[in-house]
Formats: sequence, structure tokens, C-alpha cells
Amino acid sequence: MSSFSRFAGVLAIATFAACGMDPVHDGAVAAQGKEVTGVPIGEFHRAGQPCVVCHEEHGPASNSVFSIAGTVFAGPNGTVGVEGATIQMTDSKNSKFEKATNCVGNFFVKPSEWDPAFPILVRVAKGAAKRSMKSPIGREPSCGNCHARIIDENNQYGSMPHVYLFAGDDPAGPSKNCPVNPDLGL
Amino acid sequence: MKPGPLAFSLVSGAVAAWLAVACSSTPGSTDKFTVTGPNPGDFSATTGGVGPVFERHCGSFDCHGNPSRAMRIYSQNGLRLPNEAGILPGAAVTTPDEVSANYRSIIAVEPEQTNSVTLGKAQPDSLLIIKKPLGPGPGEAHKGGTVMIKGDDTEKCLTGWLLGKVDKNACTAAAQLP
Ligand code: HEC
Ligand code: HEC
Repeated sequence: MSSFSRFAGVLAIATFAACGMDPVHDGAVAAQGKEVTGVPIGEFHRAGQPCVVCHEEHGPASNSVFSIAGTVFAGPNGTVGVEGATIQMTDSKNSKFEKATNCVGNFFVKPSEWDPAFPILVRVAKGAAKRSMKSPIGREPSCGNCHARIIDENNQYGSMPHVYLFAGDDPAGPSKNCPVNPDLGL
Repeated sequence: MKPGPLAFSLVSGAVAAWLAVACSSTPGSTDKFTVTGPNPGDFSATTGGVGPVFERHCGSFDCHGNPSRAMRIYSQNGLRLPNEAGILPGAAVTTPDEVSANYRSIIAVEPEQTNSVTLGKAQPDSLLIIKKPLGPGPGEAHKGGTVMIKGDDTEKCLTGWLLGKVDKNACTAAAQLP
């Protein structure tokens, strides 16, 4: 399934959720595929995926809901996660919050930490490297629902490539003591 | 300029726009409803234009920059109109074709009521394009919440445009990206 249709699926959640049955959302969850062997379920899993498809009130990870979550990769090509990148966020009431990525590039914000009033602005930084998203995020909590891992003719006009910080590799290199491989090899 | 179904010249700066709505009960009918829309030249203007305000505040992928939602908005920083030139989100500036499509999709939300407003027979705040962004209370329920406040630059820009006296300064301020 193209990531664009996954995206459309996610947006339909609110409409269906009230009925207790949501085929569209179930499809969006299933579209993420199975867990990868060797990567434990937890903060290092499913790098690059739209985390909040599952980590929301009606998703399979409803006991760990996130208000914002995603992954930062090193460059436009390849899928090596960046450790220690800061996601700097500002909401519409000018409340600011920062969160650092873990060794696979994943980050997640719990509502108890920060529950932003959308729209929000985001910037990613590590050392001297910075990249800002110019436009605001209207209401979507998963970076991965707009920034897809695969861009093709099905989603190219309505999706961005994965979030990345450098023109190529992270000058600091990938994390050396990460419990899982920070390179997805995709 | 001769009005035609969904055909009008925006780039040429024509002041009136026509939107032909085919009669739904008679397939193939040539009955048309002609809409005089708010000034397309003020919409497409590159400085102080109204179009960039819609792009900035409504056009993200998760809002109206999405093919599954009404009032579809194309923009440089959002959804792109399929094209042969290889223009993708985040790249080249919003194209004239995209500006024109945005104008039509905004008018098409409520063609008849928009016509009444443009002709001075109704107030701008009778339109969904004003009520929805104001949100519940001053406006009405909106899935995207309250994204405009009475008296802010966005509201001044949109309302002025609908009244035929666009406030270019307000539009410039409202279109500003951080
Ligand atoms: C396909 C569904 C799905 C996706 C997508 C997903 N997760 Fe999970 N995640 C789960 C499930 C199920 C669990 C285990 C149940 C739980 O802890 O809520 C879990 C557990 C976790 C935990 C441990 C939570 C705790 O309290 O112990 C973290 C942290 C986590 N995921 C982060 C992420 C991040 C970051 C992403 C995106 C890069 C992501 N997940 C994407 C389903 C998903
Ligand atoms: C609603 C869709 C959407 C969501 C959600 C989203 N982005 Fe974006 N992002 C875009 C679009 C469109 C662009 C290109 C236009 C722009 O910069 O505004 C972009 C651009 C960026 C850029 C700049 C890219 C460059 O090459 O300079 C960064 C960095 C970025 N996003 C990071 C993030 C992060 C981090 C998240 C999650 C917190 C996120 N984005 C969530 C749509 C989205």
C-alpha cells in the first residue's frame, strides 16, 4: 500500500473510532508489517514508520500513546539513524519542546511531557547541522505519515522523502553502542 | 471572455470568474449556474496575494493539501498538482496552474453563496471559508480546529478580499512563514 493511502487511512480514525470498529485503521496498522527479527518491541523498533498509527488511543499500542513521534535519518539516501539529533518544536501557543533521538534515530513525545496545540513548527538539529520544516504541521502526530520511506508514482505529489539531517553521512558516524543496528539497510 | 464549464482565465487577471455547475438531475444538461467570484487577480498576486494565505494556513498534507478532503489546496510546501515537469512538494514555487486550481476549489465550496457575497448581497462571514477556520463559537465546528481569529491578519485578508477591497499588508503578514 502506498504511504499516501496509509495516511488517508489514519485521518479516517476519528470518524470510525466512535463505532468501536475501524477497518481503515486496522488496515493502516497492518500495512506497517511485522516486527523485524532481532529488534525488540520498544523504543528502537519500526524506525521510519508512522509511529502514532499504533501509538494512539485506538491503536495496538494504546497503553503508550505519543503526541509526536518519528525518526531522523542521516542523509537523503540510505537509512542510517542519527543519534542525538534534537527535534525542536513550537506549537501555536508558542509553547516549545525539545526531544533527542535515540541511537536508531527514533524519538517520541508522550502527552504527559508535551501535549501541543497544533499547528506546530519543527526543526531538527545536531551540532552545526540544522534543517527546518518551513510549513507548519496541521495536526498529524507522525513524521512518517508525510515523510515516507518510499517515494514513487503513487505518493510523490503528496509525500516527502524520509526526514534527514545531513547531505550524506552523519560526520559523527552511526552509533557504535546501539543495542540494534542503526542502519536499516533499506 | 466567454464563460465555460470550469474554465476561466485567472492568470490574465480577469476580475470576474465563472464556475459552471451542471444540473445534477438531468445528465448532459447544459444548464449552468454562473458564479461571480472574488477578484482572481488579488488571489494570484505574488505580493500581498490571497492565494499564499490559503497555502500557508490550509495547505499542509494533513489538512487541505490532501486529495481526500474538500477545498483541495496545492502549494510549494504541500500537495502538488500532477505535472510533467517533475515538480514535487518542497521544490519549485506554486505554479499558475496550482493557483488557478486553488481558486476554483475555494469558490466551489459554496458557489451560490460566494456569488451572493461577491455581489454584495451577503456578508463574508456567511461563508464556510470564513466560519470553518474561526472554529466553534465565532464560526462553526471544524475538524482542523480554530486556525483564524476575528481581527487577525488572516481574517482581515480573507474578508477584505471577499468584500472587494483586499488588505495587501494583512495578506502579506498572514502568508509569512516563520
Ligand atoms: C505497527 C504498530 C506500531 C508502530 C508503527 C510503532 N509501534 Fe511502538 N509499539 C507497538 C506495540 C504493539 C508496542 C508494545 C505495546 C506497548 O508498549 O504499548 C510498542 C512499544 C513501543 C515502545 C515501548 C512503550 C512502553 O511504554 O514500554 C516504544 C518506546 C515504542 N513502541 C516506540 C515506537 C516508535 C518511536 C515508533 C515509530 C518510529 C513506533 N513505536 C512504531 C506498536 C507499534
Ligand atoms: C503534514 C505533513 C508533514 C508532517 C507530519 C511532517 N512533515 Fe516535515 N515536511 C513536510 C513538507 C511538505 C516539507 C517540505 C516543505 C517544507 O519545508 O515545509 C517538509 C520538510 C521537512 C524538513 C526540511 C527538509 C529539507 O530538506 O530541508 C524537515 C527537517 C522536516 N520536514 C522534519 C519533520 C519532522 C522531524 C517531522 C515530525 C516531527 C515532520 N517533518 C513531520 C511535511 C510534513
